[in-house]
Amino acid sequence: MTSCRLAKRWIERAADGELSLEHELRLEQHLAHCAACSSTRDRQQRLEELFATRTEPRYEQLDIEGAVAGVQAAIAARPVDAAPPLRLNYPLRSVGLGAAAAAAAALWLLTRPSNDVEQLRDSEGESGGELTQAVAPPEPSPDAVAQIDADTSDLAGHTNALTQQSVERLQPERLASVRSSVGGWLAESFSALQPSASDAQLSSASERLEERALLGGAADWPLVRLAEQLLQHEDEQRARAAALYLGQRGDALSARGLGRVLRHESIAPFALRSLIALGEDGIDALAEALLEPRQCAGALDALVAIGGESAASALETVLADSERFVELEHAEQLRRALPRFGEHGLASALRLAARDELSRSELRAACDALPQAADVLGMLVQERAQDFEEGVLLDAVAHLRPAAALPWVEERAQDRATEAEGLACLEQFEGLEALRSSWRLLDSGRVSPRCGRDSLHAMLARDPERNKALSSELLAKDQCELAEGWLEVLIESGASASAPALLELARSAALAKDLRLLAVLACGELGTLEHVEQLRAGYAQLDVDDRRLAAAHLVALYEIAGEEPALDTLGSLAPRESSRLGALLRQVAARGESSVSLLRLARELTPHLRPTTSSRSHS
Amino acid sequence: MEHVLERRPRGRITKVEEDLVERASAGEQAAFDELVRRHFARVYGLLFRLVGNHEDAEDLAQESFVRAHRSLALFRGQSSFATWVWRIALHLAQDHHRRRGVGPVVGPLVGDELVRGGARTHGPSDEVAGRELKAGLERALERLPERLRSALVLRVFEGLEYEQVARITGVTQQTARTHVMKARRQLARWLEPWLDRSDEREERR
Repeated sequence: MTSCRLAKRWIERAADGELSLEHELRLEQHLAHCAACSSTRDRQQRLEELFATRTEPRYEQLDIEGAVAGVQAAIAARPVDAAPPLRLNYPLRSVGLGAAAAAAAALWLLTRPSNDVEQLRDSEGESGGELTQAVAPPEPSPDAVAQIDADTSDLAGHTNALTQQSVERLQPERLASVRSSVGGWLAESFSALQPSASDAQLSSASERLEERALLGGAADWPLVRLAEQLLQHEDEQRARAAALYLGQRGDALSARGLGRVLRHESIAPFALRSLIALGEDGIDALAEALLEPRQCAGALDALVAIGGESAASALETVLADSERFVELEHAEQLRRALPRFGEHGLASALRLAARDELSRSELRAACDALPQAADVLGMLVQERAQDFEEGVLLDAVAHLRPAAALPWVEERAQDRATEAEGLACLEQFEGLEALRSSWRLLDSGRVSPRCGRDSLHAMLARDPERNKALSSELLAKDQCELAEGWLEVLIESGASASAPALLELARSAALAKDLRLLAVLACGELGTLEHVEQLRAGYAQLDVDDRRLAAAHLVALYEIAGEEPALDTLGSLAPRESSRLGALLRQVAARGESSVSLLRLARELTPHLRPTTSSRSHS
Repeated sequence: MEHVLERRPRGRITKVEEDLVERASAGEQAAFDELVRRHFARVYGLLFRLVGNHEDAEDLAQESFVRAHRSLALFRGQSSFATWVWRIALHLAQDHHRRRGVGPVVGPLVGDELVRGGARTHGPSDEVAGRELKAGLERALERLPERLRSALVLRVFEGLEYEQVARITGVTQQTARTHVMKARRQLARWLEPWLDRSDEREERR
């Protein structure tokens, strides 16, 4: 049974012309009984139809010769020296194997004995480039090269220009003899070297081999191609030596040969070592190996060792290829490997999650497994947010809460399309900055009032100290006009965690007394027993001029803790007085915010309060 | 379909083109003129789809070749000349877009515009509705972030493979796929009111 989630993914792939026939049929079956998906598909099709209505370029109005003349004139008018340097948005990137093969070939050209190869040139094929050699070596090498290349051609599917020429082909016996000699020299040069050998050891073994070949009169033989053939040799020592040599001198073609021997357990570690040494050239072969459960672990290790965007991308491609991926028993293992690729692995995980190839919980697990994930994610958000789907990115950001991502989250919250997800993400952030951001979004009307308020209230309910810190900040910056709005939000939140922030506002002499009064009374409604001491401390700082505030403190204490603890705040009272004040407190509480009752209570409190600050200074 | 395929920048540098580039790099104006003749229409087509009008597309195509000429020394033959000059064109189109001040917007501005436009489409004329919708699509495309718009145009309107889209836009294939997917989703979101209304129209019929 196809799920709607899967169907949605297939609808998108179908729009892109990338859905397989099998999935297309399964999608049709699903659509036949799912009205919601059917409607999604219809909308998608209408969008594609709309694309088709776009105005076509007016090729018929083009005057190519005029354009050529125009370009000429512009070039003449702007001499190169006077022109500013061209700055491309995008780096001139390597385009895969073509360039890599050229580099490897150049390396071979430099390291091989001279005068056997006249021309070695690269070409960029549609599939990434192929190596083409036009060889005209002196005797005895031409035959050897021709024969060897013909034999090796299955490795890369490349053709050799020489094979089309009338060159006498090397006799099989002669070729076997050549191969045997090279195999012997390889085994000799690389004897006792393990995959853990250092680069210096491998490099010196390669030089030993080439020197040996030179002394043996084989200066013109293409040792790399012969080594590729020896990979399959029944003598394991020779095969291993060949594998190690190819890591030093091989190229993209060698990588494919090395990839093929990964299935041989005894040679695989040697081949993996060399594929790592080949770097980007080795990635395709390793990606193929990812599909084989027995080779997967080694290939993953090797890809991680190569690292970089291309290596991560190889794994991502395997995981994104759902048609193969579904069949893979070790899919879980592959998914778990994503964090090993650091930043690039996380980027891959985000893209896979956007296409539902990775579940959100798997994405979060990938985030958790990545060292310094929050920093990495913060950097991705700052530099490449556009490369990812907002919903997925918000999910990861909400999970890891990187501070660097906060401005982006704020931006998303202001976009109506992502407002709910943005606010939900913002809610998850710790720290004062996030609370300030949430409140300002609401206060300035940049988010819808209901969503903004709900989100802010959820944040207020979490961290009393943070709430208090924002009150302090507003008062310290003398932003009393903002404090009024903040007070309203605190009261509306209905959260006991808002009480310390309310008391902080109540303590400030900079704030209007009415607002302070409101803050104290609200604290009485929202506070709990843990706020009793703070209220008492607040009361102790008041003087006669603050009697209404004092009354409010008593009422708040009464609301939270009851009559006795409230009256205890006043110290020892005569029984009559205690009874009168108690009755007044009950009245005030019963009548809610009756200012008359509050005033009466305030008057009664006058004798219990300290003289005003000014009168104290007079005395 | 044939013309679309023809317009694709091909990965392989043909021998003739390789010679032309080499000769142009050596200062032979005739060789560069030939490169302009071969590629001008394709570059213009891409720019038309990116900037939306003939005049600007033609001017920018010309500028693309002027810049290509100036930077021939930078061209190392790692991609085809066509891919390279397309990349320059893309860069110029993005500059042009920025200069015109049509930046990314926060909020479904386009959606709102279309809702208002869509309300008028209940009138008798489907033709008017269609025109308004096309204009709405252009507005929506303009407001897409640059990288998404470029990827969508290359993939959907130029019909390129992701490998080529990735080369031209300078991202990995997977990123190119994500950009196209995001662009489609964003457009669908912005145009949703109309896309749903089409449903109603069809039902009324």
